[in-house]
Amino acid sequence: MIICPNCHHKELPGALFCSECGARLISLDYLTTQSLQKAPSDHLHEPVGYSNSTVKDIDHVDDPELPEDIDAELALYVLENKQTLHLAGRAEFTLGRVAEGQPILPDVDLSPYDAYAQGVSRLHAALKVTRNRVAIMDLGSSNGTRVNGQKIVPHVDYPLNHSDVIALGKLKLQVIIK
Amino acid sequence: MDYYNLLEIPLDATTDEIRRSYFLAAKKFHPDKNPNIQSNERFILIQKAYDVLIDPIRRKEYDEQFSEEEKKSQFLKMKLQFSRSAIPIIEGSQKIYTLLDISTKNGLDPNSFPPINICLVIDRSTSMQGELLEKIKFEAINLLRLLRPEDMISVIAFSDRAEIIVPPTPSSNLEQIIPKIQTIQASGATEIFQGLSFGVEVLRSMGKDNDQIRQLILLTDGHTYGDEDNCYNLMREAHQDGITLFGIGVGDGWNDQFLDKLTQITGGETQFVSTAQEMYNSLIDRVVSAGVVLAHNVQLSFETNQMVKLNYVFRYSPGLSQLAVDSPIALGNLQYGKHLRIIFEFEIDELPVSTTELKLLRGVITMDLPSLSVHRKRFFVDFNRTVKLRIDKESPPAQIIEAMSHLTLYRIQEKAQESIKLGDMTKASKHLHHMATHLLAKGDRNLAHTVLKEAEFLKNNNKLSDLGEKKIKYGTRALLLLPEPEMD
Repeated sequence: MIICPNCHHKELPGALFCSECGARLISLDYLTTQSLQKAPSDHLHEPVGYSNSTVKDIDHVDDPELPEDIDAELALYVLENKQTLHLAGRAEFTLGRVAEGQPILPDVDLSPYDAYAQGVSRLHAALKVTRNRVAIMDLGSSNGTRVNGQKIVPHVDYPLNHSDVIALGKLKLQVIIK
Repeated sequence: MDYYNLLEIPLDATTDEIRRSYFLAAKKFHPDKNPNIQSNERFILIQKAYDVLIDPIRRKEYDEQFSEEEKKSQFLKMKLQFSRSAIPIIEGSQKIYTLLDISTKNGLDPNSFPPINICLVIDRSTSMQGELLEKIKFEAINLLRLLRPEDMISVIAFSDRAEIIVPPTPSSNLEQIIPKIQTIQASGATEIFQGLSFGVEVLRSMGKDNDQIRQLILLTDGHTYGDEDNCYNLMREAHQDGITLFGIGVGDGWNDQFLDKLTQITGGETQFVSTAQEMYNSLIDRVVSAGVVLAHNVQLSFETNQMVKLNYVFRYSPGLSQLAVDSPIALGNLQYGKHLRIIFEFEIDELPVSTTELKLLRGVITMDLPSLSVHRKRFFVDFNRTVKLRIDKESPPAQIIEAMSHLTLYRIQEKAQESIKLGDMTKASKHLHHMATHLLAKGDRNLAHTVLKEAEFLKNNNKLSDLGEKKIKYGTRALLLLPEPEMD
């Protein structure tokens, strides 16, 4: 299924436009996600600790207790500066920029990449690594988050594929999942 | 009359096809069913044609009269495009789009186009009284000057009963036709079946041998009540005889769904006009395109793979019309120098992992070309795709994206109407707002404005205004109209 980034209507893979709101879906083909789900890599298998746990809550997959190497394969490539940010050690990363007097700090500080001028909010978006996919959620940022040019709706998970380009405000990052 | 035309088969028909067509034709003209002399004669001719064509030696002798060119006739180009280069094997169902493009090659003599036979069917019910009817009469007379001298025109006026105002007359015969058109006066209710049945009869009496283009143009401003099914049946039969129906709806009161469906049966289309200028343009458009019709009765008979469902078919050149999804589909007319473009949406079930190829659709396209000595032509067309375990990301052909981006808006408009019918005004208003956003993005401010106005109207009245509803429907549909297509 493809989920329309604009209105969250579900469409069949292969659909070119959302039949509810007309948003273009072409760059959002989920085939790579699908194959990822079918053949999860060694690193993205179900964590041992999780399957043994007595908690049966499925929604709890983004448990921060995930083993460290699970997300060792996730990285962000800053297109403008040509730098790679390796993300590891967590199941969820908040992206933003650190400003003075800020009570909650983002996990990934983008201020070295001119985040303020590019319109990145202090807490802009969150990347979530679950068992078999990587998702992004906009945290109600001022300038919004785009995935491959499509604006996504705040506070809703939006799955990511390898090589997708996300834009926080104007700051563009490419997702690298190995 | 030519034997092939008698049996309505192409020059390269197989023995099986000859036999099948013979049975159909013999049934249709059997003396037991048709006691008149004409069909009796026809029945004998059909027998004769069959006897010759079924015998390989006699058929070969008969075929000697046709030139090599005619036998090959490579003047059509057919192109298929798919939204994906291969079908991936994935969990669950998926969609794929196909664009069928048939065009003519250069080198045909436009003077050899068959004469056209147009029948204007004019609604003269009381609601047309006054300015409206005067305008229609005026435009009908203007229309005459556009026709070629050998073209025939007839005029029917109808209310709750119909009358032949002008019997088929050569269009050059102005002094005979004009005074008659001017006599049309308004009175009575609208019963479309009355008008159409007269029109079909008049056209049937002309060009029996299928060597003319025969078109009905229906001008109406009103609803018809109770005779819808009769109309559908009538047009189904008329389509068999190669008659195409075009509808022109005037003002806000006519029944667009009915007229759309009715014209769709014959491969025609419906247009919406709100001003005299639009009506004139619409009529001109009809006549000019009728003048360059190369093939009519273009039809696709097909079967889909059992894993595949045909969801939606839309023709966006020439003219705009949603088409049926059941075989056979009336595709319309093929015009000289224009592309016949049809977009198909398929839904594919989850495929077994072992699949390597999928035949979405196997079909035959038949058409009648009155300018050839054997009218019927047929082409085999298969929609085939390879199937792969995984495919790389790719961009669908630009033409498909372009067409779908407009068609999606048209379909959202359909959904909004649907929601209103079901009483879900919130949803309908959401659809309208989505449409307005896209229309603004496309730069169509007028239509976007109309849509927003209707959204406001919807909020206050729980329905769309009659005029606005049609403006939106035909406006979004018109987005698919391409600028004059290139000759190639």
